[in-house]
Amino acid sequence: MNPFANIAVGSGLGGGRADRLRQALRRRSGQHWEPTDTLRRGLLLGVGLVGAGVLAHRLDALLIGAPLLIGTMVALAGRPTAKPLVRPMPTARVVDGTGDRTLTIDLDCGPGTELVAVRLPQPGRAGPGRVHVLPAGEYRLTCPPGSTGWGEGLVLRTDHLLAGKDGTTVYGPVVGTAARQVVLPPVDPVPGGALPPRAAGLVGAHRSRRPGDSTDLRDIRPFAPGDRLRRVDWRVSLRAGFPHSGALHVRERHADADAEVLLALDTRVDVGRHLGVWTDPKVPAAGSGELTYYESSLDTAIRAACSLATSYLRQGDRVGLTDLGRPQLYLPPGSGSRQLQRLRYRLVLCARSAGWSPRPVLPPQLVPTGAMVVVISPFLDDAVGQAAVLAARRGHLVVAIDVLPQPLIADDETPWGEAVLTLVRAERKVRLDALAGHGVPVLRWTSGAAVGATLRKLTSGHRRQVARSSR
Amino acid sequence: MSGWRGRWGSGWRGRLGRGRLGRGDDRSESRRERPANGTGRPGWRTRAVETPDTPDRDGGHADYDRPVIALADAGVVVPAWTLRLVMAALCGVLVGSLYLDGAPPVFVVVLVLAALATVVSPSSAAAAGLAGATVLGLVMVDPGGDDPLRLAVLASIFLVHLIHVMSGIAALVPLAAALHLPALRRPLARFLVIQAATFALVGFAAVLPAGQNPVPLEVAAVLGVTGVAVLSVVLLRRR
Repeated sequence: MNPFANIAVGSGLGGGRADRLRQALRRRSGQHWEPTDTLRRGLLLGVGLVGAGVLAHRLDALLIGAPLLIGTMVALAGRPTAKPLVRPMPTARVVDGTGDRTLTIDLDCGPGTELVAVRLPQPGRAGPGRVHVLPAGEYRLTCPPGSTGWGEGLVLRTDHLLAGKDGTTVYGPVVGTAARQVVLPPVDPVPGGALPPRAAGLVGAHRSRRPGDSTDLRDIRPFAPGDRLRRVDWRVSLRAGFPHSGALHVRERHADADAEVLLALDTRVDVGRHLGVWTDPKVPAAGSGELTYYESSLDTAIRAACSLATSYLRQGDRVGLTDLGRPQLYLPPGSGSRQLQRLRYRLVLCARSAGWSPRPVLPPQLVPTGAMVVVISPFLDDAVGQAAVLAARRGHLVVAIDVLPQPLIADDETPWGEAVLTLVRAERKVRLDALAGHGVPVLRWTSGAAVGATLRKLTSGHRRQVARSSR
Repeated sequence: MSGWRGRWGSGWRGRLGRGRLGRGDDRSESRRERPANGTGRPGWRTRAVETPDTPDRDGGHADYDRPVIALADAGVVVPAWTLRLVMAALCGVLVGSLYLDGAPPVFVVVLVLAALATVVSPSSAAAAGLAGATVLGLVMVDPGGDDPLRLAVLASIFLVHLIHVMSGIAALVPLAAALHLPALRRPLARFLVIQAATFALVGFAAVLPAGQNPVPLEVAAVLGVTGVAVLSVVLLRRR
């Protein structure tokens, strides 16, 4: 006897059972064609009225029932049986908000289907969107994404329902597959120019004070042992009397250097201009994929970090990121376009895990030696200011960027609204003055251009002056 | 019928309700990091993959020559509650025609209630009740069946069928849905064809001589109706 016969039979039984299970699950999820009440109504009224008209010799009843009966019989004869397909075409997991983000849905409704109701994104709103009733057929439907905001969110979920003739049979409703996307934060680059670097390496776009191999002339000095012959400036040497009395002279050049910048993002709080909604959970959070119609501190912080990172990386500098509220999301400094992509994606993660830690964490080992630290925060508590001052005392160049939306608006639903606003303003003023007093210049993020102009002053050694003027 | 209504009541809003977004949506995913390029491997560039990952209905792969239609070009859009408005207007005309035909006021009130229920809940049995009440009203106005082709009957032939079709479609879509008018083209065409056939029957009935029908014709008519009923049951059981 064939020993494999039982396996074959067994697998066949298993397959049948699996098919039955699959069919049962499909029935539960609505993935099959079934008659609706319209069909039952049409049959009941059609047969009933025509039959009653014939039996009772009532022509009016017969004529009213006739179209119902004909319509229902036509619908029954052309009842759809094939399994329709409504599926979203695959989309990129991570997209740039500026590119084409058109979504495509593949529709193959099968014969006999007349209507298809499918949920599509609603422009300006995140989430699965609104149901659209469309003619059935075999085509591809394109639609714009719901929200143009950045962050991670649901972009498409093709919940669908298909109907036969006159809605007499229905397939669904079926909950479609959810497609999620990460939309990277937008880039508003700070205008080019000399941003304040802290020379760290031997390659880069910035001129270092040290001698090196760049093209910028640093000095002309007498030849010394170790100098290369190709550095000899023959014209100066001859003028100095070489080879009779004078010495050889060499041209000394500056070294190229890059800067290391660490963006320290404070994601612990996300607040807007209205103090009344600071604790309102209904307000859409930054990075939730929804458009933030109001100015949010975290949204501004993310955009500022993105812009600064883009500008520094374009100069060839190395930029890293640390989340003061969640240091596990630390991104070591790096350079290049890949680092920018990595950083933008990490910013989305930072926004998603906002509010993780009550206190800011900036361990010294996360800040590379000689790196410039840009602390981006709304500065609503003393802890973040202390972290910035500590970093400055360790010898780093620290710049604080204030992202609290201005002007603040008091909560008019409580009599204490104005008093609270005054208190918040006073506390912040003291805090920012203390920061400036410790040599940490505080800039308010309004736009990339304005901040870029202030940052350029820092390059020319006016750090104390900028710090004083920011008070 | 209430089962169907109940299914929709908890169905479209409940099962297909608006999904949550944001940081609370997928906790497990929020703890997992992905590389910036989104491909699962560092260093690979992000690109949109255009190949379908599931086979099509016939088991093969999707046809790339399918026409592409933008949602904005898919025709004039009206909110789905417009269907209910049109249904309400049609019900008003139906009730008005019966009232003008001489239906008793108490019966007109019943008709109004049935019409309201049809508009509010098209998936319920109210539409069937409205059609039945309409026929009953016509019988009450003309018990002997002396004038079966008067204006109220002709209006009812048109309106009862149209309300039946519209309530069938309205029962399927949520009130807030966007209804693209080209979706109604095929139902409308079929409705007009069926109405044309029915009114051809009306014309045929108008020229027939009144009086007692021969017995064989009566028997054939009864057998015909029974045959239609049996055929519909067979078609319903067919998968």
